[in-house]
Amino acid sequence: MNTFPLRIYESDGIFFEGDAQSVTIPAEDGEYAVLAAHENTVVAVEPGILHYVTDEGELFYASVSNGMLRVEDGDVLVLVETAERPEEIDEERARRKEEEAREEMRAQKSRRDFYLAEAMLRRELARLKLLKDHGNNL
Amino acid sequence: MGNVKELKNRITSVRNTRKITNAMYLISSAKLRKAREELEKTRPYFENTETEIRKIFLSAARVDSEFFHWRPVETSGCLVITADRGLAGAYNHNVLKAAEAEIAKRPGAVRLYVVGEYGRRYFKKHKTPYEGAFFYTAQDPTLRGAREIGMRLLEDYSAGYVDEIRVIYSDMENDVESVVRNVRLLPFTEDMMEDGFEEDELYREYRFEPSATVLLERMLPSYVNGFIYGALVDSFSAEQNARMNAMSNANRNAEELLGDLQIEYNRMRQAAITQEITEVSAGAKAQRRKRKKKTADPADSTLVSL
Repeated sequence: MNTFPLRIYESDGIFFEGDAQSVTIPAEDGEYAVLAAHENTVVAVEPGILHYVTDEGELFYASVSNGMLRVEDGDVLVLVETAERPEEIDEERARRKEEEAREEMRAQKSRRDFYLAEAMLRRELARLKLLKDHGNNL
Repeated sequence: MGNVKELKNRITSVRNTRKITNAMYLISSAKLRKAREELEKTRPYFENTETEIRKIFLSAARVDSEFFHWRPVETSGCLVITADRGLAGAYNHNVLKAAEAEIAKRPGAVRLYVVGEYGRRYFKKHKTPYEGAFFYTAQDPTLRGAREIGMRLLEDYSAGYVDEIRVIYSDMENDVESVVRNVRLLPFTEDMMEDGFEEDELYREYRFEPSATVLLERMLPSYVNGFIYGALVDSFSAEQNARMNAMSNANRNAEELLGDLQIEYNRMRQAAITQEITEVSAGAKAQRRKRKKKTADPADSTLVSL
């Protein structure tokens, strides 16, 4: 299978750098998959679950937050605020945070707080979903 | 003898002060290294975000976003980054001077967002109004703090409270000197997009999903946060560096002062010893004279004692 160079950067570091066979991101209207030789595109990434297959055929999952994916002359770059592997997520913590976010959305102190809480909720939901679907039954 | 004791106290107090300034020097250099390392980790993400924003903007046919179009500036928003404390040479003073210059350009139409206790105290003292609810320290710059600041600035910009956002901060020019920068962060207009790029690097054809405007508005907060975080860390580095210089000067002064005081103390001690010896020998002489007086002729006695 053809491969392409893939880079996934999160705000506080490099998440993945290497060759990949495919990468699939959560987009506005469902999943968006990119294979080698994809046309030049920029796609918005929604909070959710991203997965990619490395050149050795290994499949990896990660929960990601807002960002974008760009294809330029076969080079693929994913920029997301945060990205986490299932083993990096603490289920207890994610659940607690989810609860907190819901609580804060109910309180709705201001528009800004609301957006912050909403973004947090979507992040935590993505984390929990990743654990449920692809965690190693922790 | 009281004088010697005083001098001794003085030497001890200078020694203790030197211990403190030396510790502050070491702490500053450790903090500096840590902050730099943290910033370094975020570079790939933020640098690429900025590049991609520029590319998207330049290849998009139309962008309907308030963040990317200039509007008449009635009120300017200024993020001023100062330190929490003094003892850092001219560091705070230089930043505040730049802020004052900006205020003078638009009297009464500048909203100040001040980071650092020193700056807040300064504007309070000069009765210059600043955003009171905006409360961030300059210590330990974090990405989280930068995000909150960025969110607040973007919100005020969207609400129309400010028509542009400037950041006044310090940056290291080289290893020794720092400079104050005054940079317009928003709106991010076309003339700022092409800076530092080759033309063929930027103009590309892309398909946008869902649209260029949505993508730009999504990535812009990241760009703003990244810029603010960078400015916080650069300022923090400049502050620590200024403090390290101030402290190593203080150390040197303390060293000199200690040298002088030590010499003075040695002299005084020597003088005291000499005096004691004189007293002892004078006493012994008097005793000897007394004994001689008993045996010898009283008429000779004056001669002997001389």
